[in-house]
Amino acid sequence: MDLSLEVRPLDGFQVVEVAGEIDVYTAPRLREALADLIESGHHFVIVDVEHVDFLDSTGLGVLVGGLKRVRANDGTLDVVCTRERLLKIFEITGLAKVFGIYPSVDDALRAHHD
Amino acid sequence: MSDPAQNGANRVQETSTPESPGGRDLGLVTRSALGGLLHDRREPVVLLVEDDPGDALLVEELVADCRPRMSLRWARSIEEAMAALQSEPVDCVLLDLHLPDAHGLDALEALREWTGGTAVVVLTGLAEEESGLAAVAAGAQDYLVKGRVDPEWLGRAIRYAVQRTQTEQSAAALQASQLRAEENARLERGLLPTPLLEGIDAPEIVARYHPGRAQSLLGGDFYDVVQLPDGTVEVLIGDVSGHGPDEAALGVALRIAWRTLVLSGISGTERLRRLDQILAAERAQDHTFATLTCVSLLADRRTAFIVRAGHPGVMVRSGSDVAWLEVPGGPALGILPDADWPRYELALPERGALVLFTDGLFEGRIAASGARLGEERLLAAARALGSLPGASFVDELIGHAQGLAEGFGGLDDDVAVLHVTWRQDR
Repeated sequence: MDLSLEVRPLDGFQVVEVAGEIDVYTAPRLREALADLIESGHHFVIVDVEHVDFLDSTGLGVLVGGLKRVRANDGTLDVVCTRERLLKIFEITGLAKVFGIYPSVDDALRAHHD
Repeated sequence: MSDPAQNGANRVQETSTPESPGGRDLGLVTRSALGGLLHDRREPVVLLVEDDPGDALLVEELVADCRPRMSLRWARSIEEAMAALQSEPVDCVLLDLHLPDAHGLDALEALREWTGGTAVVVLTGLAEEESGLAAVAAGAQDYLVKGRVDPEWLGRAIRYAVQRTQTEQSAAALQASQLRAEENARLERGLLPTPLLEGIDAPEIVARYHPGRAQSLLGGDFYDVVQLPDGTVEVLIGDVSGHGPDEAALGVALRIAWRTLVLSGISGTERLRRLDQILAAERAQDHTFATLTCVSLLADRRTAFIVRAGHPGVMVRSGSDVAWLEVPGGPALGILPDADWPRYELALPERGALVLFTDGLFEGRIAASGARLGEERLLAAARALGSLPGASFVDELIGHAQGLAEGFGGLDDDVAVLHVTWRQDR
């Protein structure tokens, strides 16, 4: 299965739109994309997984890694997700308490500007 | 035989009967050898790297007369050779040591960086046998002296070079896979121990581990069972995020740490806190985390305490019923500083079983759309198997998950399942 990644700047944030499956095979590409962003000085990241069909523990590890790196630079990494299946995974693993999880990119932006 | 990407009159000639001398047309070679001749998959593909058109023509004629036949490509420089090697697989490179962009052993070295496992036969001039020998010492399979070669000799040198390279490669691959298998076996033994059960009223344990499709990517699933002197049975299942030897080694470290904590009398939330510390200290990358569930089955088998750290639910079997139980828990280990893990008390039926497992059991792909088995379908399958005794229940359940994933590449991830059956005395 495939993973597609699109990065766009928005309002001081970098929005990473991910679609497809984030698993042991595709997770390295997301890891690279996040690493590239962070290394080039972008520390405010929103990862939109609204079109992600599957996320396994390797994928979660990539998100956790990204979060740790932006935090080390006083940045943030939020997740946009309304899919129940994925929300459940964040909930079960306790990661729902670690990431800011928002129903839309706008909601994530608003949360920062409030 | 026909390759739609390569059309044109030249090919027609090569697909003709064997007695027609293939590649006889000099235009073919001088125009561009790179995309030139037809490539019959059964014939070895030989890439000639030679800047002198006259020498190239001689080689082409020799190759044309070789039986069994070979296909020839021509590159005039190392740069062209690299482009050719990228565009299609080549069985053997015939390398002239005097090229516009590399000389002598430098040419060989530059090429070998790119060809990896491709056989290289060096072409030398009449007065250069020594550089041919030096090239062989530097990794070429053979050398041929220009002007002293006939078609039979050339053909044999190339075929032997290809054969030797293949033999070397398969020997190296075999050794690598043996080493990996040994390493995996060692790690697996560390991840999946023999339960430490002493005493007469030990519960019946069925433990299964099913490696994922990507065998070289050993997962970090682990489990353990320890019975304490007072009769309490401590059970553990866990999963380190990611795949690979680092993750597997961390799984082993966590399992042994858990066993040590159990034997040292550290229980409940405190045990999790210490495991969390150990994980943070032992992990190779700071984004690695681990999920786990610990169950303490008290000696009277009437009560179990469950502590869940980011791990999926468990199944509880009672009679022929199977229920999904996802107790309140804390985060996976290695995520939050100062996390807390509540202990959940479960009243046990007189007879029953707990089924602990890792997410590989329900994350298998079951449709071309990418749909996964999921917890609900797993539970439905478990219920259908509800009347089976422990071992067959577990085997059938794994078989079911495996069977559904079969048509879609099989189970990617490792699966660990632990089935603990108890019976109260009175």
